[in-house]
Amino acid sequence: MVRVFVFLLLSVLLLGCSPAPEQPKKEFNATDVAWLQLADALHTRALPLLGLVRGRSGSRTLADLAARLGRKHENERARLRALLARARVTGENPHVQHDMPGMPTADDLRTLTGLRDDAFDRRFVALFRAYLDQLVLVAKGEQSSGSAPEVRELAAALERDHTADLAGLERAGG
Amino acid sequence: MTNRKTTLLALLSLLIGMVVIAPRPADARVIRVAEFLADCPFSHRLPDDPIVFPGLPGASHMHSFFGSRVTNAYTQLSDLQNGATNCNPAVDKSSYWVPTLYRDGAAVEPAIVTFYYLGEGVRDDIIATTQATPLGLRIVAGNAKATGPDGSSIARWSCLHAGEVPPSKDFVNCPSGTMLESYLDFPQCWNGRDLDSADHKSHMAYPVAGACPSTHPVPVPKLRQVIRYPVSGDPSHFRLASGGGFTMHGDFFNAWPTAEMERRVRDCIRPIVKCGADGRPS
Repeated sequence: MVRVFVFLLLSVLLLGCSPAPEQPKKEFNATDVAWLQLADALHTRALPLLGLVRGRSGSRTLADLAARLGRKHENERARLRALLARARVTGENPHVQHDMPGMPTADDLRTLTGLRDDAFDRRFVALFRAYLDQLVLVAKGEQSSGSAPEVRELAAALERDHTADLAGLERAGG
Repeated sequence: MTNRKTTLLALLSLLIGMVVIAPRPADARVIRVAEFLADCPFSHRLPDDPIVFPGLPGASHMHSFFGSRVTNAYTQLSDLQNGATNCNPAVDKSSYWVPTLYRDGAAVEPAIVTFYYLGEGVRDDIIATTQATPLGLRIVAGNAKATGPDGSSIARWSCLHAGEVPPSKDFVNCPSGTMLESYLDFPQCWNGRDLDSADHKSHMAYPVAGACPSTHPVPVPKLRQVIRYPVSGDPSHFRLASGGGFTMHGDFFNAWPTAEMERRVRDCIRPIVKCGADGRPS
């Protein structure tokens, strides 16, 4: 009982004393941090969209593509988060709860959940295209305004990948 | 002796207290307001935000910009200082922006946009110590991420010329012939050190019980953004680029010339005098 109390007391003290978030490291400029957070938030909001494809899409090609993109986007998100950690940006991503351009909204997901076959595919392809277009756009911004070489390199790699994904999406959905 | 001294002191403090709290004679009609203002109409629209998404054009939801004519995703202080403005007074080169309002999907720009700089919010003795808003200060006020009209949103909606409609955190239904208006007060206590912060908010704080908290000890003029839209009626037709009415927020990038800002703080805010756009008693 005493041990539980001491544990609780210690947890409260430790939590209460957690340091204020540090300022991002100097080598990462404001664009680097903003892009990493925005790209992470876009990925986070797109993953549930990919999760809807299996069992609803009328196209085997599209279902396979979505499964592959799901794995790829999880991996990309891990790379974005690793760089956020290197930049010492901690805490909740401010953009995840917020409908930003390119993000599927809660309404979009609800509508999509009720659709099947061709109707589903058309709507899904439109939403995922908007998402990839936005990722490509902001990756360009990072490459021209970012500072940290590793962040700019990731932006260049993602821009290439997502441009290829767009082409794959057109093939599978067209 | 000691008793008499105490009694005297008590009487004296009572007298001082009465003078301080005594209401002003009704016939004087002097309303003391520490205020100066800038009228800055709509300038342009872009899906950019140089505070939240610097260097990332197109990253943001659509914003309506007021004041500076040049603001975009790349804007730095020197761009504002060297750029044109539509503010009255023209010395205010600051940039102000909000999420664009849409009615049935069509953008609606405000008819009247006024930025008040006020002393109110802290005690009069603290108003007397107000410091000039530092050049280059950036603030985001309001909550773009609000998910409902709850405590997390600060902006208020009301109707111009229809005071009977109670203000709300979400859009209100304004009678025909009146205008939908939005009020948003920015935090007025500065940490005295940073012109911006990672979340663009934590270098500033709202006052507590009429004083600035010890973490943010420097009182600066409170920016009050008042925006009047030429729309009325059923609020279900309205949305902001950031979502519902409760997501209203404002961004401010200060580019007032230091001397102009300091003069207004000295002549209008600290002595609690109502000034106009020119920073002279009105």
